[in-house]
Amino acid sequence: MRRAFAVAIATALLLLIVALHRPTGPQLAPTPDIRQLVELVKSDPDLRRLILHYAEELGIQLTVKQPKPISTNITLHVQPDKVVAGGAVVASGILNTPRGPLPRQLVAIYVDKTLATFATTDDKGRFQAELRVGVYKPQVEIRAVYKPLPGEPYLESNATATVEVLYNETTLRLSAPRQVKWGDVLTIYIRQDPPIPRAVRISVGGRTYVVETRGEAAVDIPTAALTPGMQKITAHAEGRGPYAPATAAVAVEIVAETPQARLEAPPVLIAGLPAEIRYSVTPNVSAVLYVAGRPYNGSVPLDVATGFYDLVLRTAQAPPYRSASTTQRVFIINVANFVPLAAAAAVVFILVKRARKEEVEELYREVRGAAPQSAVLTIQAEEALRLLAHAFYILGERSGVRYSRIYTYREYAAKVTQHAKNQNCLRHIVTLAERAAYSPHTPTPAELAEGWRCLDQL
Amino acid sequence: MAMLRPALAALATALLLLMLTPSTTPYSPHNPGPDGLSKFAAMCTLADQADVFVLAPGAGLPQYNVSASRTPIVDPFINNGNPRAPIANARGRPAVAPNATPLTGPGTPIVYTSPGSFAGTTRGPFPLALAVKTGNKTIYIYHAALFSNRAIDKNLQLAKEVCRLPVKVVVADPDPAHLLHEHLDDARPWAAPAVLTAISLYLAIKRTA
Repeated sequence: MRRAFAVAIATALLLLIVALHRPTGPQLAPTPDIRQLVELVKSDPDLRRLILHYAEELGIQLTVKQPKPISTNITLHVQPDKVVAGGAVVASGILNTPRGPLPRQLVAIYVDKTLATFATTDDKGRFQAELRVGVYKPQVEIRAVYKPLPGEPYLESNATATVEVLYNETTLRLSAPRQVKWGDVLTIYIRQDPPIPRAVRISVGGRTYVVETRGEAAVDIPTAALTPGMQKITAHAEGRGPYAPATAAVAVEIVAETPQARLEAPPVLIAGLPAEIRYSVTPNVSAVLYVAGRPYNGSVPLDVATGFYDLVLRTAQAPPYRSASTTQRVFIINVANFVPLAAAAAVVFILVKRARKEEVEELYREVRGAAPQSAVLTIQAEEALRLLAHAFYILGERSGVRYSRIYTYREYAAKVTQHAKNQNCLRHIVTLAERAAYSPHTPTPAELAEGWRCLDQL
Repeated sequence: MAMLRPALAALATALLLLMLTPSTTPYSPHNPGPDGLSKFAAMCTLADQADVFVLAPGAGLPQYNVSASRTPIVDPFINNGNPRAPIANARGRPAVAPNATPLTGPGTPIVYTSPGSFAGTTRGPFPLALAVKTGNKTIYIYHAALFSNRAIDKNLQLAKEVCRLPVKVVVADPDPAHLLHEHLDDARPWAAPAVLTAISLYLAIKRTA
């Protein structure tokens, strides 16, 4: 029993050992420092080329990670920390990285956000530059900025210092008339306090005048080149040494007069013909007359279409007179515009006449058809029938009853006789036609001539 | 006789356990761990007599003067996410070789690491497969790291090409499970007659006793 227990325990232990026994990796030598190997490869361009070639053969894309940029730190000291405006200060500092100072690097130095100068760091990362402080503010910021050039592995950094600036406030006063006639000279009086010799720049209407002054000065400004109306005049004096800049402004109204322009013209003008246009300008300044937007040169332009147009008289500006204009509405007739209309009317007339001729011809055939077919008609007989066809056409148009061979000549004449202005004429024409159709006594040329005359009175 | 039975029982139990237990030897065909060759063995015909060898680090083939060193190859640039898993050039195709070591010996390299790989302080390229001409035939010797269970999925094409011929895997420092499996493989043709002989002998002894 004890032996069986021992065997069971031994078997259990064996199973436990097997269960706990895990495969292990191969026993290999330790790995060298990877960073050293990387540096080794980096320093050997031929090896780099071989590696790239190897990667290309296998179609492997090698990506090169950019090195982490190195932070920089810059310090700035300004001596002295108080300066009279226009005076100089010395800015100095050190450009450092966690690995040590950065030599031969450019540092930009700004005075009140304006680039003043560049300084280069020495082997110990130190830089120094003299700056002129021409800023008229109680406190001026000096900033040193290090911006690495492209490809440099450094981050940018900057430092600031403040300088107290000592200076005197100055004032400018301008005096000028409130109004000036356009074209006259405008005199502006300038007064500086305190009186220091410097240039004052006067700006008005886009023009600038510079006057050197010490205390007081007067400037004459011609107004002819200015625009009439309110004009703002500003004066500015730059800072000079310990004296701050100053600015002043004044408003002056430039008054212009309006000339009287009179224009008289007929309401209807004919294109291409001279028109009787009278105009006058008081006072006598030059003026231009425009017809349909074009200068009038003695006759109405021929190329304007028939219609209403503005006749404009515009005076030129001549200080103190401003430009003025007066307008009159006129109707211009261009005869050339009616030529197509006349041509169209002629075409219509010809077409109507031709249609009428055809209808009369058709009616003649109807009248001829009503005559005995066996009869041989003379020229006079045919003319008599043609005369009747004309008469029946006229009366058919008036009565609205068209002739047909179902009527005898006399029946149709009786039907439309009330529409004839001269019934005797109708009777004469019908008689001539009946004689032509039924009688051997054909109408004489005199009778026919009488018939044609009658046709006009029908 | 009284001690013989427990001794035989213990021996039989130990052998049975070893037979059922996988090998822990790195690059053993009977090791199913990441550094084993069990997947490779399942794909190939393993034979004691072969012209294709797979050599584990520390193992050697003295007859061809070829061995695999124990110094790992490190490639800081062309690797499979780890410098210790260099990407080798296997006839123009990439092959991953985690924990690979250089093969040393004569022959033409047919799989090799990049010029930027290192073994200790020695710079590559290092061969991971050699074609060795002996007499009128060529022997192919591959590094086992190319076919470990952790690499074989990435080098499947290469493994299939290698497995066209019977392969012999040579490991260093085999554990008992590996040895038993190797011997079992060797003894497989003799297993049936041996069992029959043992049973017959047992019955004969029992009858005479």
